[in-house]
Amino acid sequence: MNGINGVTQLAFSDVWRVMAPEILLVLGGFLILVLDLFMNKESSRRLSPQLGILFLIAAFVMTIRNFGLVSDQTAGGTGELLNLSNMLYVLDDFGNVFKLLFTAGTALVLLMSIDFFKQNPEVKVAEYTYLMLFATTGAMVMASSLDLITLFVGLELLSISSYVLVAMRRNHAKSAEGGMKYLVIGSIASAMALYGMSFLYGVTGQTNLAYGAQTVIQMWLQFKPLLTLAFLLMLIGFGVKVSLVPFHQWSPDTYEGAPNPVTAFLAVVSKAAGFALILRTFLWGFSGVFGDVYIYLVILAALTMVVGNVAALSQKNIKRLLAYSSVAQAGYLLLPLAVLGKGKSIDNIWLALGQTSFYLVAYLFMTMGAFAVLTVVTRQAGNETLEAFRGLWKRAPFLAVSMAVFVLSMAGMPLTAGFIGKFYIFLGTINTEMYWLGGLLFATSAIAFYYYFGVLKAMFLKDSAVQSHDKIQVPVSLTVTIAIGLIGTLALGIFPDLLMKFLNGLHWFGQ
Amino acid sequence: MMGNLLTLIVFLPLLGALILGFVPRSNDSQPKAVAMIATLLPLLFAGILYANFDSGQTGMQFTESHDWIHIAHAFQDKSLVIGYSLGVDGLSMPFLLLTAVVTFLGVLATKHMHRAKEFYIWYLILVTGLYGCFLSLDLFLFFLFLEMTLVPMYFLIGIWGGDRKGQVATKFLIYRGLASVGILVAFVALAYKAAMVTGVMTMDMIAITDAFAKAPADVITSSFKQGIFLVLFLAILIEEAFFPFHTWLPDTHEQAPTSISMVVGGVLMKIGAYVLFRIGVGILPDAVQYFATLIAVIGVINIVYAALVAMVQRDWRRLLAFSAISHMGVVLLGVAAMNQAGLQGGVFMTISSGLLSGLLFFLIGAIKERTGTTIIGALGGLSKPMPILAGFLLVAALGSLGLPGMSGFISEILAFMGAFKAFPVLSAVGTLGIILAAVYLLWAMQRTTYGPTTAQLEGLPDARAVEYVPMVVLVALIILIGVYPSILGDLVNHTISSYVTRIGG
Repeated sequence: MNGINGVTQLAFSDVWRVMAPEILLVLGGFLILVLDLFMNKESSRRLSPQLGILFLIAAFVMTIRNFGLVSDQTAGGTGELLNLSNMLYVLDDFGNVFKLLFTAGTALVLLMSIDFFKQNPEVKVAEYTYLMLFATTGAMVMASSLDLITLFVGLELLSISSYVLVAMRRNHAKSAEGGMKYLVIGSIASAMALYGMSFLYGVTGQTNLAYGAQTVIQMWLQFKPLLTLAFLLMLIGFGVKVSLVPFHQWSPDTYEGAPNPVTAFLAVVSKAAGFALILRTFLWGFSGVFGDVYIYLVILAALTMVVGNVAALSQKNIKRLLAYSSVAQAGYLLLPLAVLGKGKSIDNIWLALGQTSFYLVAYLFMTMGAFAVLTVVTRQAGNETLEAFRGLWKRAPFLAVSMAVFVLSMAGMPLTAGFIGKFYIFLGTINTEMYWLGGLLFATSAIAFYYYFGVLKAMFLKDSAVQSHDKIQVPVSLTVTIAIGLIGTLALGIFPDLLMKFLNGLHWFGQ
Repeated sequence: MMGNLLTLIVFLPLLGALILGFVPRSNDSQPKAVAMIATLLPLLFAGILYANFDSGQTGMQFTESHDWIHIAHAFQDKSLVIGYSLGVDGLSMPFLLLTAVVTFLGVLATKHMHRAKEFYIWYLILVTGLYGCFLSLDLFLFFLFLEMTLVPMYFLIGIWGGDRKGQVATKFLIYRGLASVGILVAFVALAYKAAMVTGVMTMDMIAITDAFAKAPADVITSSFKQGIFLVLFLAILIEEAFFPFHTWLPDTHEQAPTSISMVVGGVLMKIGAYVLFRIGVGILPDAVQYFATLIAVIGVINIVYAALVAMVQRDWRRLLAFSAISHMGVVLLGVAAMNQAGLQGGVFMTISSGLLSGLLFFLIGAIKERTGTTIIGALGGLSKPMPILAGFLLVAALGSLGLPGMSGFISEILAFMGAFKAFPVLSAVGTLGIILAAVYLLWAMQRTTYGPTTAQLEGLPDARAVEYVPMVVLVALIILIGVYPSILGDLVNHTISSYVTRIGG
């Protein structure tokens, strides 16, 4: 079998050129692991997160370099897909965009974690940090593999690291409960996905998606039920990871139990990785028959938007509220792919990828910012209910205004990144003439006003429950996280072209 | 010099809000001064524009246009370019002036507020949203400004409202949030269909209007137009608080502080009517024609139903809210007629209702400030302690019920003239509204201003010097339109004619 047109085969010696970000993160992880053995406890606690962030930044920079590789003439022709080991692992802008998201997201998470380490001396910092790096590597593999086996390895690397991270505070009952739930449900999900993959392999005789896709088309008529089953099983497995309804039940408990930075990691990086996997698998493996299976995605997206937003209405705990909100966002994020079933041309795919990427970037900024504010506020109040936010505008105007911006962005209000992101996704639904789905997107957003504005109401409309109007001390690391989130959310809301122009010029799958 | 005037009008209030962010919180008079400047300057600029406006022209004037957002692959392989484009034509000019006048007077009418600084910040953001809605030439931009009004309104009701403020603020938010869904679906669907005609994807109102005007029937089918119009119309019904989606309006008026009531009744709830004229009649005239009977029936139901409900209201503010709904029903009737008189009457009625609502809510607010109540039964004999306020209230009520020589009269005459041609029977039923308006307004007036003055109402102060400004300005405008209708008619005439000719062809 000798490759596909528009693809450049690379020798093994090129591995650094293609996998530099992944290699850097693995190296960084092992370095922290080894250093921890030799250093005293104090300096290890201090250095590990800094080293971690350093390696993430290096990986981020190498990913930016890789954009050049995809479109660079010298790397073997303009806009060709660079791949290793006969389409096992590829370098394209699709993977690159997601890698930027993962490294930036994890770096922000580690930044937030510095404060978490100070508050929780019992947490093993080095372990935490290298698990984060390994998890991010797993996410990167999920975004860049074209083979079911490596995809699954990436998924497991991310998942297993996450299970441990959630339960990091061992003597904390909720943390353990959240970790346990995530472990059990996550493992079942992985098994489902693997089962589905095995059917796909059974029919096509391939584990490679690029080659398998052609066989899927040939076999479709003959093995339609079996292939549909494979699709559904994989969808369920991946659906758990990105918390699509009805596979979302783990997320409120896990989000609530996990330490705040880990929750932010699950909400942003892990979810983005799940979507990378979904897009990779379904856009490649099922591209030829997508018109026959998209309806399941439409149903799940609609269900997720409705149930996620409605369930959030009655939440009093702010982390559970954000968990349901993040479920609802998963519904929005699935829409671009779902409507492709009625897509008319290849341009629709590029539109869908642009939409998903834009929304994920917006989502990264607003979610990170919100979790940083939440960390400060809930700690000062000593509880995680909405009550903690009462009268925040009086106690800490900067935190209150920042949180307002993040929440308004999640609600999709103008001049924030969330508004542009939603509108962008909405365009696709109308383009494919699925008006009701677009209507549902904004109608559920209007329902969501109720609980998002509940947060605003607590902050601005109510007086503080705490009598003392002490100024809240915000640690530097969290201030930086909040500032980044704020700048990103507003900048993309007012000048979306900053990101749009970049996305418009990408060679998503090398083309 | 005219180059950036529209941008200034839209963003000066927002700039004012930003400046207010840096004013110390303790001070009460500074925020008001800033807010006053930030609404007075746009008013002046709007005046300059009006003076330089060429009413003999149909197209947009004073336009500004810049590319803002580029979305690749939005339509086939083409990009969608979203523009920051503003402009005024004969239709939007009256709305611009209305906004300028009412929002400035709203600041004047604001009394001492707790958390004054925040109040004005939200108020000014709201004003920017309102200006933006009437001046946007891009559908996306319009939608953005429309959504922008939601957040400030939530806080303005939620913090400074009456005893049910939290609940009503949320109700406002959800109702109008859902209305914008319909508007957005309709807008984007229009843009995609227009792109199929021209091959270029844009959300520019003018381009879409032109594309629809010249589109062959097989590209844009009439069933598509009808479907989109129904979606849009449903949204307008919510936006404009028509029965059966009206309940947010009386609640809002009852709970909101005076100046916000003025802005809601005067400007905010007129956005729906503007959309109906601009998008409904402007882009989808044949769909309006197709559903004319339905629109007329809904219009008449609103005229009569809201008038009947107004009769049993115990609170002035709820009464005025239903009265406004009843009057806006006349707009629907006029639009349904789809002829020059009817459409013109519709615009007249919208503007007239905006001015009258502004005036009435101001007066009721002034009375509430003195007596502490707006319950009609608790008032009485107000003409003795406060003859000036009572006198203006009488003038406003008479204007509202359509006394000749005031704006309400000419509006109703025009709208019904148009409507009688198209729907004689329905219009005859609709005129019931005029009679009912006389009944509920005069009855409420009589109970409020005449009769014996109760002890606790005695000796209350009459209008202060500063209160004369809103009253005199609004009454002057109402009478001006009433005795010299061409001042408004000349503005809108050309735009309306261009709509009407399109219906014929």
